[in-house]
Amino acid sequence: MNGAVVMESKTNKKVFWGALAAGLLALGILLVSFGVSGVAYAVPIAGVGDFYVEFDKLEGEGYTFYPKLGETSSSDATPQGTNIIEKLTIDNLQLYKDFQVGGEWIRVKIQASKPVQISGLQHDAGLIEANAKFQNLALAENNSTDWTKQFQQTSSTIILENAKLKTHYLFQKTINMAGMKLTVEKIDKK
Amino acid sequence: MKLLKHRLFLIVMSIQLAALSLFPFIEKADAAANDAEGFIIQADRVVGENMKAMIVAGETAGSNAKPMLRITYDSAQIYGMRLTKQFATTGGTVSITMKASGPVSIKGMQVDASAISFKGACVHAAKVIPNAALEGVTMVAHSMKAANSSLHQLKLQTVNGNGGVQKPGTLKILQDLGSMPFEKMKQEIKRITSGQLPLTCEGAPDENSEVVEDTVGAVTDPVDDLLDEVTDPLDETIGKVTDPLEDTVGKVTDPLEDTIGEVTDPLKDTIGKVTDPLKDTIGKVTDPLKDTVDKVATPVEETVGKVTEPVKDVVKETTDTANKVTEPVVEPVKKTVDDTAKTAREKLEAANGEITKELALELIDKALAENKMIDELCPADATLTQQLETWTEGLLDSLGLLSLLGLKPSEEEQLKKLREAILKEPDGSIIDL
Repeated sequence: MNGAVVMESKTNKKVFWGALAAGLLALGILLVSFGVSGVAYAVPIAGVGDFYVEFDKLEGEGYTFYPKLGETSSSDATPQGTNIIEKLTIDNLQLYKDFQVGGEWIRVKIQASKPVQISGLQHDAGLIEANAKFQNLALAENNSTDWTKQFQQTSSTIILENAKLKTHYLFQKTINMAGMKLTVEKIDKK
Repeated sequence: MKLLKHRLFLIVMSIQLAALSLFPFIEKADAAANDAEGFIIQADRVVGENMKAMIVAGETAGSNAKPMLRITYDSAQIYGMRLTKQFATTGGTVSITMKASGPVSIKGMQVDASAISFKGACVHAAKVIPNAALEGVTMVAHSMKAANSSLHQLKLQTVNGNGGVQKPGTLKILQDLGSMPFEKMKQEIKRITSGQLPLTCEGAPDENSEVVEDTVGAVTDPVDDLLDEVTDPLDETIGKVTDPLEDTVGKVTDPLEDTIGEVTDPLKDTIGKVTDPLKDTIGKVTDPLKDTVDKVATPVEETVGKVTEPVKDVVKETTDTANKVTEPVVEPVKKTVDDTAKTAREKLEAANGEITKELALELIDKALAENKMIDELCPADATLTQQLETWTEGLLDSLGLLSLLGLKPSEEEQLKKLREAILKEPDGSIIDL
């Protein structure tokens, strides 16, 4: 044991809060653009690792699902499913991500008190939990050498209720998010 | 020379070793390509209306025309559904798993499967089964379509590995078709469909192990038909048996041996005629047969004592066979009757949140009889209670019977008003908000 050096890592609070402030500033600019037009165009949410999306109800049209391998905060290639919905409305939407700072957990949460209208949604998820309803549902195999094209699930409409989605990437062509609120709160997490 | 031999040996061994090292890769690549085809659908129980099975040739992940079993339902309820799709990627096997913990309701369902296994059923091509119930279903599907589907408590996950499922073996009939040239396969499919040949009867003990039908009527009707089939020839036979006996009674005192010979011969023939239809129908009747046989035996006993003994023996054998065969038939009928006499709670569970006018009236009547509110009818099941609470509140709200000031009618009054409102709805309609 003699000569052994114990290394202890610690989060640099200055760097963390600096980065968070920069992120919030960017989000603020985004919100200002919302305020001006009410609609945001080509909005990607990525690079923050996996985060959770929860909502009471989603009603969408033109749904497609296919598998892929994608990057997450902990791995370069994690199996995921890509959900594409052409047009949708979400009631009581909440997006949140939990961070550990020192020994404590904080949750950065974006929520919308009014229905959110989105067009051109691409959503990569590792887990979806919901009560689901589909119209004209089709699960089909295709003869392809590319494994991501071998299986596809489509439906003309999709309704998800009481949903929780572990999300890795989110992109919307346009989003109208009225009554949006951003909160940073300390949470108890075991 | 010795050095050359040594080098040659080393080179040969090296080539062999190098070649051997390739085998695992080749095998793995093949296995991956075959195993990844199809998605595996498992279900604890599938109950559906108007089930039909056909053979078709369709596209899969590895073929453009693979013979498959196409199963269609007008509507189906699936309990304990799990769907797994495996992919062979460069980084190993990856799976998508979809699991519905709640019931799955599907209307206008069509599934194409290359392999399937389920309990106690024998499905024939193009033959519609009005009420079919399959249990322990596992299939390798390549396509699935549904006009309307509702999946309660769905959990969709993408994971590394094969998802922990095993595929069932391919049906022999599909294997045979798969080995044929395309044109011949099409002709054979046409022949199987037009002939309504059995598709999933491999290893079945006999052809009578049809898919379990849920309705009492569907099971009892064929029994009634069989009763007629069995009693009719017996009635005719009674005449045939007694007529020659009556003729013979007068001549019994004369040459007794001759007479016995004359009597037993027609009896043998007649009993043969009686037992044949019983064998064909694999006897599903006991009591009517016993009664009829008694009628046959009594006049024979009274008329010629000696003649009755062989008759009794043969009749005993006939009734024994009938008894044995009747047992397995009576059991499913009893089970089916039990299934039909479902409680309101079971109906509610099966209804999957879609409460029809009839079920709603039944629930209200039950609540009135027990002097409870509707959401207190299933106290042991938290999910159903919650579902009923939401449903009742929604209905009361829509009728303006919920008051924030607390001036609401009594529970009995609320139920009666609900009843009146629901009675106005068309029969069979879903009572929803």
